Amino acid sequence: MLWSAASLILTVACADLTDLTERELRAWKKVEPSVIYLMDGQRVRGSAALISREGLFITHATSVTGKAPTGRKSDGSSIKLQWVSMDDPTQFVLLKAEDWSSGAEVVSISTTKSEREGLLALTPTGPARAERAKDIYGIVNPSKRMMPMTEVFLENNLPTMGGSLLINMDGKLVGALNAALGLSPSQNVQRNRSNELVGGGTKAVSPIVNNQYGPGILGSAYTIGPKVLNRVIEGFLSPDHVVKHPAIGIFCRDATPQGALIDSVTKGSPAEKAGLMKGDVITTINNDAVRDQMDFARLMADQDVGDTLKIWITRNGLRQLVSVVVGS
Amino acid sequence: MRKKFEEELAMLAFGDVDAESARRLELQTQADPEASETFQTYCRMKDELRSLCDDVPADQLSKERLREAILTRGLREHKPAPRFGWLWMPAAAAVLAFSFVALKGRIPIGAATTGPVVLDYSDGKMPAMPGVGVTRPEIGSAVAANPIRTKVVVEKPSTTVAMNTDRGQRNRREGYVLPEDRTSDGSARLMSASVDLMADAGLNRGESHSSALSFDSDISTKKAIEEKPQHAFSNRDQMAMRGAPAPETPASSPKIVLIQSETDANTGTLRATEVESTANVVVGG
Repeated sequence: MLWSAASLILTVACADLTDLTERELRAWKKVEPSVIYLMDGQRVRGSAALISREGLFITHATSVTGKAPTGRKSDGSSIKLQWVSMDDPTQFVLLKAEDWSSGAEVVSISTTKSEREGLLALTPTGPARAERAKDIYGIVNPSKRMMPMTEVFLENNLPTMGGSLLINMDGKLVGALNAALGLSPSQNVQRNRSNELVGGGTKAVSPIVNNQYGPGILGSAYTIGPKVLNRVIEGFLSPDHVVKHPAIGIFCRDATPQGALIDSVTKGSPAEKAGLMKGDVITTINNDAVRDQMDFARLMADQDVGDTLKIWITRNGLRQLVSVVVGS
Repeated sequence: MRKKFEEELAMLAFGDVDAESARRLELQTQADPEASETFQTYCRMKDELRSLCDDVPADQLSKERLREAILTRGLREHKPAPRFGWLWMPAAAAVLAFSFVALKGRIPIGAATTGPVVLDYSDGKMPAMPGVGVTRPEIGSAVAANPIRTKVVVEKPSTTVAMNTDRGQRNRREGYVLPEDRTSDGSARLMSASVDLMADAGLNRGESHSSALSFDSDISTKKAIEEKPQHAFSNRDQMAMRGAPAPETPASSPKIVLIQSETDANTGTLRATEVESTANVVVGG
């Protein structure tokens, strides 16, 4: 126990916080009381952010080991946590601290989407500089849901950065590192701050590192967009702690010449109840043209549970109008 | 030896005597050694003269031959006929065929008398077609009396999906006649996929002409068509149908990231892959 606390303090204290700018340090210090470190034995595995004064924490699945993980505050004190629920499409996990009695403020959620925004990734080895690049869409397997995502560049490719929380310079939560592009072998070469090779990569690969600037190695990662993050937190804070993403229960692929061809319909889903069938081609949703399955997914991502969709479909050459209530 | 006898021997040697004289002279020569020697001398002379003739070039013209040629064919130069003179004919035919095919796709709307024409005048609101130079009634009557059928394909409504095979590809120029849908005067309603020509004529530049670009195949559900949103095929979609790149909108970033279920060993996060095309990706919702 004592050694665990000491290792945490050493890890955080030895993090090169001096590499951060004054503004970044202020952001880190602002959010630090609301963040706990999730432990995996004697080492830090990830971090979690307080989203409720009742001791509810949000984190990413890759930061959690087991259903009863142990957490530690930055001062080294231990916290027992319980796994409450998980949102499969986003891999966010809700944890609840036992006997939580802290005056820490809950983290605020960022709603801005400004490009080139400076961010901090709360990695197990301390805050790492990151930057919001651009907004894109990601298809998350195995649910095949398309989510609005934000591409993030960061100067770190440590093997334990998965699930690191992201905060902006105002100390607001932006998201977590949900996924990252695979690094090429040359990019996997790790160097210390003296630009010496310290690990990773292979000896057969040239030590020249592509896309390197600053003290670290540039990596591309992705986090879900602010709208989805808000939806996840609202779901976690609901009485049943369940996140409800809009869906009608169909899977689509490209149709020819255009439209979204329904590949399958989930049994008992709103789509089945509305009469949608496999082979139908969706051409319009709420007066918005659906040119392909990506248009369908984008339009669905913008809906809210309970909305009623007016969907034009083509079935056997005949156009039909179908009303579907968005479920989850 | 007498001079006359010597001349006769010379003529014998050169073959200029008749057969009776030749027999007589040969008998005399055999009896007289001096005459025989003289005959042999003239024979050698003939052989030497013949060898001199061999040294003359074959193409050397004598005055007589030249004169004969001039009198017969004149002074005009005669070139020999080319051995492969017939080759220019198939080559010229190929060039003409290629030019015809190449120019056919570039005929302007005003001159496209044999090309497909987009007409949807069932509602009686077809506007004048700029570039064609005729007004709606003239077009309507012309089509009703003598419809342009060169490239109009009679298809079932359900087959209109073939109008535009792929986004970004060249549109077909075939049109479609829907026999089920006829106007009150019996003329067929033409529904065409020839958006190119419509665009050239400037008919699909605005929302007000969107009805002329109706690609809906559901004719029987007339009510459904009437309830179709006016901007269901907006300019952006029409441009996409024509193969032109649609204007970039914030909600349609071309970049898509596929996030796999497995964790990447290098980063500890789920593995992501950027893809440019999502044609075969199934999405849920």
